[in-house]
Amino acid sequence: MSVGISIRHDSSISHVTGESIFIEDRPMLKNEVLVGVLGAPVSAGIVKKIDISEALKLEGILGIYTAKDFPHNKWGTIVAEQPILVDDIIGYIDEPICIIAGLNQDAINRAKKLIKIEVEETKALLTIDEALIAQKFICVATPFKRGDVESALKKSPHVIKGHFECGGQEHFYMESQASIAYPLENGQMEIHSSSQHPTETQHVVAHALHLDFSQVVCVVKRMGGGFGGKESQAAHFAAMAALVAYKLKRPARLCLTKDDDMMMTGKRHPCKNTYEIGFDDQGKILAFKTQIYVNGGAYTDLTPSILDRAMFHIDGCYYFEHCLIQGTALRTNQHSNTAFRGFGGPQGNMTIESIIEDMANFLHIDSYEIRRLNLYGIDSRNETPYGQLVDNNVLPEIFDKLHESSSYKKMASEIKIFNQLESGKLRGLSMTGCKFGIAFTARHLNQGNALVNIHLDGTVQVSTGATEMGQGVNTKMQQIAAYAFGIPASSVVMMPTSTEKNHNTSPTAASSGADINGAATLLACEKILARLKWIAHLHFSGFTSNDKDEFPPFVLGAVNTDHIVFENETVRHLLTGKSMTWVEILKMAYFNRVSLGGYAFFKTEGLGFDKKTLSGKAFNYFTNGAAMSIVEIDEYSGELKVLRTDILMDLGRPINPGIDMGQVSGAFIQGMGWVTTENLFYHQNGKLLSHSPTTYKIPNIQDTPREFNIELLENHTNTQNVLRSKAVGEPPLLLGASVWTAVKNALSYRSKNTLPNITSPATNEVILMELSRYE
Amino acid sequence: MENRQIIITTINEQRYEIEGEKAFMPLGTFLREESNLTGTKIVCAEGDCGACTVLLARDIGVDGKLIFKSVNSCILPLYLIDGAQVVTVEGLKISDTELHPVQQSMVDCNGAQCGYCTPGFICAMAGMAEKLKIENKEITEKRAKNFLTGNLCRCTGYKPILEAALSIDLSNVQLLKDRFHNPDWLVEMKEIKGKPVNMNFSVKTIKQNIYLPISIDQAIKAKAADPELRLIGGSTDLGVVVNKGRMTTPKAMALYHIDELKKISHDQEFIVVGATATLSEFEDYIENFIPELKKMLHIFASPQIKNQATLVGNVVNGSPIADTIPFLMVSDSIVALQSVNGVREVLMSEFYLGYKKLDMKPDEIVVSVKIPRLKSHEQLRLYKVSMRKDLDISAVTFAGIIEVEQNIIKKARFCFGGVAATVIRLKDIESKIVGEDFTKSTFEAVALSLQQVISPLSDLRASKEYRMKLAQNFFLKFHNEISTGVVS
Repeated sequence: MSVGISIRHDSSISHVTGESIFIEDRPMLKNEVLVGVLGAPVSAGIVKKIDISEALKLEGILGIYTAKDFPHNKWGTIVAEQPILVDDIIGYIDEPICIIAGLNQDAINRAKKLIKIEVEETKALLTIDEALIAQKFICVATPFKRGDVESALKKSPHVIKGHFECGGQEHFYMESQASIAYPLENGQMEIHSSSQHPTETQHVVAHALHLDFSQVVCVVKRMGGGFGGKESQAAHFAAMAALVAYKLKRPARLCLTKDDDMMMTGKRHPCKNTYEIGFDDQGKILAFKTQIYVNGGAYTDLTPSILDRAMFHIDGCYYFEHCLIQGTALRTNQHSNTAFRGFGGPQGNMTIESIIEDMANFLHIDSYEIRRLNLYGIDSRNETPYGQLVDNNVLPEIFDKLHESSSYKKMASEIKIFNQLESGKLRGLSMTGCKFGIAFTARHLNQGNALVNIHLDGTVQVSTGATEMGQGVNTKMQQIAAYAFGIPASSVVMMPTSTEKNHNTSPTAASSGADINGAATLLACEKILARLKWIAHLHFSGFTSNDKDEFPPFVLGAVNTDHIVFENETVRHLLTGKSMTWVEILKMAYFNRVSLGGYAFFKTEGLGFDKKTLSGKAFNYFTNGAAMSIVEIDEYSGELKVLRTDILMDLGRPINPGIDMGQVSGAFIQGMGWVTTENLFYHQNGKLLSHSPTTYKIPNIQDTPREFNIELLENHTNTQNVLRSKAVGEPPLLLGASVWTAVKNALSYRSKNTLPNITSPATNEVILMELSRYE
Repeated sequence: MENRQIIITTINEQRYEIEGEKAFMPLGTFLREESNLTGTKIVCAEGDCGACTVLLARDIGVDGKLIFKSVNSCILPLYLIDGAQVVTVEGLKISDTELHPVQQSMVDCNGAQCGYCTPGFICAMAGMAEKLKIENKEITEKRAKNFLTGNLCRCTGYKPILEAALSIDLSNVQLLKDRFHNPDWLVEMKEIKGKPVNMNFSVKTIKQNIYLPISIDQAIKAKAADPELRLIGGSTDLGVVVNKGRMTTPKAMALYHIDELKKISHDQEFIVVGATATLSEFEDYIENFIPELKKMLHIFASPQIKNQATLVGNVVNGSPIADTIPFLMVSDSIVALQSVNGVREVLMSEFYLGYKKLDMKPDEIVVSVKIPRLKSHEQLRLYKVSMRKDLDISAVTFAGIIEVEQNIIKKARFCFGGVAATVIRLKDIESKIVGEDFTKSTFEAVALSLQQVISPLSDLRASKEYRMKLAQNFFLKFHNEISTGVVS
């Protein structure tokens, strides 16, 4: 069995030896040129003139291009409204406005300084509040409404009104946006891109250059991290490289510096959510009314879907009998905010977790008790605000088990005593949960295809639309194919993702890469397997073939082949005990002219959701988990330490537990970074000032919890997904919120009669200034 | 004496000779673009992410073998590795079928996800294995974290990487100093260091000069002849501003071939730190002399940076948030300057005249810093707050020394960084507090009075309100720690 075990990541050897090839590692071709991007000088304005004449005279500069050089300059995943290069109106500061082709980076840097851009500056809207006043919207979502929230609020013994505010987050993939365009004959173009979505990259490049989709191939070998930042946002940078390749008829390489990448690309959506919550003396939620505001930035990008997912996840793990959930996305003069691991889910989830922390402080009840009381039930109180049943609900089991295994009660009472010591240190703890809906909420994206080729030495090549960004999707598919054929995983090689092998693919996103592409891989393998079983059946039944006669043609379902099994590189007839090797049957199939290649298409069944009537099924299933975190604050400086985190995740029956554990720890720390140290700092003119790791602080190894325990729940019930596994990429990120709510818990020991009121991220400064409010 | 016109170095046992302008190229760029070694990644180009980490041996130990240390190749110009040996991630593999134990451990523990930070982690871990094995120390969780502070990973959450570090069996690790021991190279290395480098060339009409003297005499004469010759220590600050296009360095002089400037020594009165002693050498040296300073240096920067950067570089750079300056000021340390006119000594607290403006003549170079040894009755505390605890630039720093006798303050010295254009000594407060009772209320009064003394600014690291609050609280924390004897 090659599934359910922790084989090594399929690229691990080349990763540790430095032999893995990323875009920028590809050897330069003799006539290859470099491409640089110049950003707009102001946050909002009208371009009057772009003077490139002086820059063009520089030695080593081969061409400088602007919006008018593109046959089609507009792109966008949902609405094709975003210019690849600023046309006349500047949407945000540092928005790409010119692209520069040069022989070396030095010449490009000097050219940037010589390009003169005249603009008429206009008033920029930078925040949610400013855009609200100006009534600038990207979209207003259809609300989720259940029961009678207004009268339920009126009847509630207690009501808290407030707002929750969280900042954006830079993806900080280690490999910045990168692509190389190779011009081929007859106007064809081969793009190598660090992209989560090769199909969209193919389409955007083709459209921008007025080529047919069939003239463009996009290849993705791997990414040095993606996290959503290369879902939509790789495409237009690839189009810029392609324009240069198209104009100069030379390969063109565009690899952004980290600074340019951070200034030019969108991030996680900042949120400001208002709410009213009604509850009883025990903390049972009676009514919940909220309005989500997200800062979408300058263009639509994926914002409507992200807003949807924020709305889908503002229930957290908790049941609301009466609720009204509204969502609005604002248009501002900020980089166009985009997909980021969790895709709005974390912003929704953290809102309710924050509110529950406030309810606990209000009622003087431990927040765990309130969470446990409001958890979705097994047989009742188990319908989400959008009408989907929470079936196979393991949330109560997860909460109970983690409460026990983390010694929550003991920890809580120790903290209470510790905080009475007034040692200058303050501690807090909190447990939060996640119930993450798995499926693209845009139904059409829940499809995929796979190509499986078996070679006569018994090795296999698998190609799918999934892209590898470190998450191990390739390793999981390697295991699935190996499992299907009963061969070692080492006999299966995952090929680069390419739009010529797999067409109309979906982005590797929504945690669904292994779900969709793994299922397609399994189907493709099963198709080949059916033919091989036919061959085996004939062979074991005494048929032979020779130069004159070959085996009768394969007929699906003609005979029962259930008793023929493929395992340990052997084909065995369970009843007769007859057997042959894996390579022997492949040769037999080949000489009898039976195909050893398979292609399959997969779609997630049963999905379909009507926002108007709140009926149907938005998600295929939920991935669940919970985390308990303990924090310590230095009361003199506000400095924060995470002393301990315990996580319990339900990942169904993992295909590769080792890889899944890495996803859990990675996602959690990324979520923790978002709510603690990762502070995007903008100049008042809108320019991002924290645009490198010197000023933008993702967690480092010292920031990880001093004690960090991760367990997986045993759960074999997820028949909804390939081999009963569950998606893992995004859900654990939501659990990072437990660190932030633990800060709130700690502050409550000093906040006297007020509720701790902090924004996210809870930087040292935010914490100390809040503490000084209590003095 | 005859000058050399080329930089000589070896990378994964291959010898390179570097001429002209290329000597200014960062090692990381040279590896990727000129040496076909693309395993080393460049992400931030400012020494902050560690993806470019390689192992560098510039010195020979007492056993006659090379001392390998991790450094950031993205901010290390080639002229700083003259006579040095470099090992990159590609060079670590034992054979085509056998990985270095560090590499194998990272494979076994799923320590690599996307793989982009991995080569840097591998080199940092190999540096850890080298040092700990030589020192006969075990790999503990704390040590592993300290050695990996300078490497960012966005995928794993570090847990699998830490597990990989803890799974390394040091007995299986063959030391780099043995693996890469090449007597011929060591002979050549000594020859290289015995001859000054003086490269003069013009690039687009700009005259450029790289000078690597082998004696102080050569250095001060060169500085007298051309005051524009810029002194470069570890290039950990300069490398960043050059990479980000904010500065060029056409004329550079580095002193690492001058043996006597490398030394750290002590007598009854002073610890004397030579101009090219690195911060990691300094950190190791003072561990038993000034444990509180060791703690500060621990969070000062990553191992890679500390293996490159010098104490004198931190002093001369003169940043208002330089982390060692507050300590050097309160300890009444002395900067020793030398020129063709002789040696001059300046008190640290009088060395800074304004923002990055030093009491230093154009022909002078700093040859050492003299740190008075702490008296047994003096108590020292050093605080630093930044956005992230480790590997971050300070928002506010504090240094305080106090002497208390029968609960009366006999002597006090306080210093802040990050609240003014330079690091500042609070002499008024110091003199006012002497003779006062050592009580909380004394320090509360001092904290309150700070509002008349300092007026910090807001920037992306901290608002002025936060800086003020921190500065005030540092006094309260100082009192609390000294009075309770707590070492945080």
